Amino acid sequence: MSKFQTSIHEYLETLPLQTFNRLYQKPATCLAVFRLLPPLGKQIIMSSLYVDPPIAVSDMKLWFKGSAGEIKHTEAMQRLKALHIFEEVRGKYAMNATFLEQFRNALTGGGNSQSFGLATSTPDKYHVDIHFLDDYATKQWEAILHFMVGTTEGRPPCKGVLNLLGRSGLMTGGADNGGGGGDQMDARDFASQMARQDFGVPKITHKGFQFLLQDINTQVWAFLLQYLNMAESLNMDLVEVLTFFFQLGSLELGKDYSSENLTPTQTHLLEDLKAYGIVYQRKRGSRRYYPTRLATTLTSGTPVMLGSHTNATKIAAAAAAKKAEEEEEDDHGFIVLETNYRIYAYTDSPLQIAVLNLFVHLRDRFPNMVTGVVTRDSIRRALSKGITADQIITYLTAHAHAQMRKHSPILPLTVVDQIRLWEIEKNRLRPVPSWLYSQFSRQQDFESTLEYASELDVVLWSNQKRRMLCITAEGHTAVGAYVRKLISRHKELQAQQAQQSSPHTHHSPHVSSVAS
Amino acid sequence: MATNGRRNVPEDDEDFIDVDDSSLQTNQANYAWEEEYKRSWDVLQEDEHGSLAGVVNSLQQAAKRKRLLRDTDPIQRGIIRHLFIVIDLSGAMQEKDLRPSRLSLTFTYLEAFIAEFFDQNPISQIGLIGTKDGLAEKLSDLSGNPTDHIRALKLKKFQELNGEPSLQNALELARSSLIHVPAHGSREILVIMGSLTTTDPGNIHDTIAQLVKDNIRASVIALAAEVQVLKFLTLQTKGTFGVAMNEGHYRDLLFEVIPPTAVTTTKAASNLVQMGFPSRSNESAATLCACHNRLTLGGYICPRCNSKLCDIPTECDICTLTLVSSPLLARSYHHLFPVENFVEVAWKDATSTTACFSCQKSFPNPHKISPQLQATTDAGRYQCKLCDKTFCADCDLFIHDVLHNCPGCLSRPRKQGGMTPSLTQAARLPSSKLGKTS
Amino acid sequence: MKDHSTTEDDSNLLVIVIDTNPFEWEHSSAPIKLNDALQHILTFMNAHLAGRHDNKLAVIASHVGVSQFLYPTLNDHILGSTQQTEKDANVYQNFKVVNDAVLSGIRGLLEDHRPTLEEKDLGSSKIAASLSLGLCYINQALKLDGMGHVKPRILVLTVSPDSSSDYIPIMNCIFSAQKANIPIDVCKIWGEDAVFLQQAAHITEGIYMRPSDPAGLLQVLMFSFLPDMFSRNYLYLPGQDQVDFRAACFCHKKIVDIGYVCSVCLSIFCSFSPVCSTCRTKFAFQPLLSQARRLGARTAASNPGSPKTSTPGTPVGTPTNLTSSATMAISTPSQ
Repeated sequence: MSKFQTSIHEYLETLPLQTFNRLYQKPATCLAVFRLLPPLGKQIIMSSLYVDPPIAVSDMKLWFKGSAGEIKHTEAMQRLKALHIFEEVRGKYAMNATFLEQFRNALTGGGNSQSFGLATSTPDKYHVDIHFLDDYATKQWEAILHFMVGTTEGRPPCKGVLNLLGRSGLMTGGADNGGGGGDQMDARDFASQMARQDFGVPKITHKGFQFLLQDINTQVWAFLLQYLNMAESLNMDLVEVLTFFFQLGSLELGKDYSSENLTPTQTHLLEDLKAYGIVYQRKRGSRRYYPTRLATTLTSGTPVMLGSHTNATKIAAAAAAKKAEEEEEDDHGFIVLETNYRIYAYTDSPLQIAVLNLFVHLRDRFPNMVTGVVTRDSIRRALSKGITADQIITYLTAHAHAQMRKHSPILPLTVVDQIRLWEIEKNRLRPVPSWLYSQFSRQQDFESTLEYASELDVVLWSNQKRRMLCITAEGHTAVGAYVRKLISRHKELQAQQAQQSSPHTHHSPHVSSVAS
Repeated sequence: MATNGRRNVPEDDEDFIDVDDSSLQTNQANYAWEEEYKRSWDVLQEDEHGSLAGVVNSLQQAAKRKRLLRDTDPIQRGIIRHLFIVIDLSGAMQEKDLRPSRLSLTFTYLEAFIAEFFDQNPISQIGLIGTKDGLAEKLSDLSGNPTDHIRALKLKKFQELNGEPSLQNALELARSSLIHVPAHGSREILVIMGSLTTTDPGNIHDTIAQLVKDNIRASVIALAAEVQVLKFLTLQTKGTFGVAMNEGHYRDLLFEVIPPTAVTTTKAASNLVQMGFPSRSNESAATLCACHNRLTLGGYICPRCNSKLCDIPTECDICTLTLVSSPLLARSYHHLFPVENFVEVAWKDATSTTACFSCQKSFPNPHKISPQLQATTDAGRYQCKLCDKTFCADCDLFIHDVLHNCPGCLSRPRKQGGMTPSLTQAARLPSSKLGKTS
Repeated sequence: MKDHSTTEDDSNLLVIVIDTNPFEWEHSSAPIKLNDALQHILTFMNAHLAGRHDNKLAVIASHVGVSQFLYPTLNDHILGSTQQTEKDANVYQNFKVVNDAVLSGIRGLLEDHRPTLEEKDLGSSKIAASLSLGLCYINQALKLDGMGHVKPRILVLTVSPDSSSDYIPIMNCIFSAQKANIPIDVCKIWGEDAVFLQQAAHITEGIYMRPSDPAGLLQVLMFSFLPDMFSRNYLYLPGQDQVDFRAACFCHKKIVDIGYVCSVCLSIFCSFSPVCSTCRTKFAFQPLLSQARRLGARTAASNPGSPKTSTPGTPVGTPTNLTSSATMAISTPSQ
């Protein structure tokens, strides 16, 4: 399970019981939450779904085989409790009543919650097919990514997206804002900052680079989670937002759904999701909307690649029956990595090329392929942007060409090891904030300072000949004070000498401390 | 073909285009060097669009089908077999004309052979004999346990090879063991010979005559060339003789031995053997078993005398009933009731069905495929003549190679179609009517 | 060699064989009606599909005289997966497609194939055919998958007694399944143990179960038959205490525990005959024969050779069903 999907768990687990009780009122949400569970967690729910009395804790232990089973059991139970599906009451596991009822409804199609999307009653005048939706989703989503990598293609995304990019810390307004800083920035500030182009072109952050290397599903979830965080500040009802997300996941691709029964919050949500390419609506306020592939695979748990516009995909999609699985397979990988560090990427998508360019030294470009080579420099460049070796390796593995997948391990070990080594190599230097003292004019001054600093154990480095020494940040106050004392003492001496009006002043001592 | 050899499940290797190999096999009568020099690419011819895809496809299909079209007449086959495999362990086996070497290839193939043999001949037995330095040595005794033999093979794998083999010693050793097996089982010897010579203590022809007398069938696979005495041996004992031309051919020769051989009706030593099919039970308290007098928690209960035995197949120690597991017997039944070969459907008749009956895969639509392409490919439909259902090539292969049931014949109402093919045999006999009237 | 290891990320292909034998379902002693049972089974199917979005399902009906796919059906493939079914906002669309297909399939079967009483005598439902269809389907699915991510299994929900004429085909299915590592789970909803299917579950390492209360079918299905191949590594699931290895004889299709086996072809017969009906070997007059006769007489005592003999000792049996009474008539000498 990918990092961001784990984070939807983590996110859910922070919610209070009341929120869960409201969430579980919709069968679609129950189903979606259910799918996020580990296999044995699912089995525990299924096994107890049609048993009425609560199950004794000791009894449930007996279901599991051996110590391995026990570990899995504890893991699963922890998750179930955190999601408030089960509660331990007096030595017995009791299932959340709302969840129980609505999940049963999900399985049997009972109840009248209409959580699986209300279909429109009349056919759409404007024909919309799956292919169109895929194109639409790709266009919208890639526009965002293009904006992030700074390729010129397409117009910049709308304000809502920019806002979200800023809030999630994926991009900054150009100031020296490090990786984690973006979160705290106020949303409105950032949007206005983005709008005023003179302030500086928005720059992608370390986090943004990492984001680019994830698969689409993870990216979408990351976006939506950020949206959830923002929803609270915009006074949107969290439960309605979540419910709508989960509902989207259960809709059918290529079908139109009525937007008439949506709450005002959800209508507002629809607008925003349209900008990300998650849903399609022909025009603002239209009575119908279509979920795109980005939406329908939200809760599926597997990365479903969009037909990002490589020609090969288009042909394949057009020729073959448009089965999702087939497209999935075609798209899955395009990268061939050889043991001699050469990379062949069968793609013509500027986005993919831009992403590759982050850590590959690209050599040649053909209509349907780019070649390049992984070098120390190219990897170091990526590392310096905050991308980790593991992310590069994961990206390469996830996008490996079908031919590469026949081998085990998928990537050549030499290259993987080398990429790791390059990362470790970088870690040989450890930056420590420090102060440099230099230009001691007298050797005694230098030596006494060094002696004093050594006693405090704050010397990082020193050079007798050049009379320089480095002091840790912590030691600076003490050593600084000591040096100032030295200087003042010299000044006093000087003053006395001046009073004696000595003519030869060429030996006047010059002591200075330079901090850097 | 070298890669082919390492796989031991036949249906696995369909990715390969066995062009060269199949053409060689059909010419077994000639020596390899007498044949015209063949290049595998000569066999392929481009179609009118200059594409090879169609031709390669149909060749693959043909190769698949070739394996399929086999004899489907039920004949008497000896399913209780006793087979000794004589392996040449002389210096000649070090030759590297078969890759990686004659010996290591032989051992690789034999491992697969033993597994497959017991799969198809469940209550048969195998023994292994090695011969070198003019002596013969038993590597493993006749037994029905494949792991014993495979372990014996592994022990011998890195042994030194030297000297001359002794055909006579090996045959005599095998004969002395086979002579004791019950008459209703077959007695067979398979000789794998790398050497062109043999060092024998006496007259080999006496031994051959003795083998004939004892009704032992000897087959030979020679790895070097045809040797007269070996050929003579097989002629006399009604065995088969083959010279392996390459790795793939060697494997084919070896695996031809696996299907149960047709029984020669002349020596009718067959019999009805009474057997029991015990049920397996688990007990909460340990009781003594009849075979070892040990306390055990479960076992097989003899249906005649109710004594408990540890393992089957065995003979009940109390009432001497032969106890077998009925699934073990059933493993070989597909030899008795093979599925009829399916016939290929031509493009022009391919309009009636749209999908494979058994796997629901849709067939190519004949209206959408150009006549040119139709000329070089086939419709991908295969029809069972008994139930008229059509199947795709994959299912056809699966049904005949693995499943041995025709889903179409099984799933039609018996009233119209009569008995399923597997029952037609039994139905012919008056006794089966008894069952129906009852 | 295929890799048999399981991971959390496997997709599961479940092939369900539903026995729709109307003679059993509509019998007055049936503890649960087909309609009710179907509700349970549909919920179970949904539970399977709910597990993962890529879990797959195939449903095959095993009817009297005919066996056919209920889902996916041929039409599905022609029209593509977007079959025109009415939408219902209360039901997950994936569930609805499957449920509708299964229900309409069974309705069609029950209407079109009203087997006559004569057919009933000839054999019960077509379990062997359904298993064969299922195995072909799995074979194809595995081929398409190619990566070993699809973990198939078969679940047989049966009510009919063993059909001894299906002995060989069922055995063939068992061995194919065993070779491909496909477990066959069997739920005998009520009635006597199904001997062949019990062997099937035993040999393929599946689960065999005869629920004590057929009305609580759903709970049994959810608890014992839902766990996927990965979860089964960590769960205690019902095992089999006793496995019956009896076979059906070739001559009378009777289920026997002691039989005569032809040494040439291994055909099983319940009584001695001079010629093998399968391979037509003439059996020599051998010393073995005398022993066989002696023993044959002995077994005849415990084995009512002619099925005309009534079966008073039968515990549950449905008196109208001849096949089952024949099964019952064979009892081990211990009884």
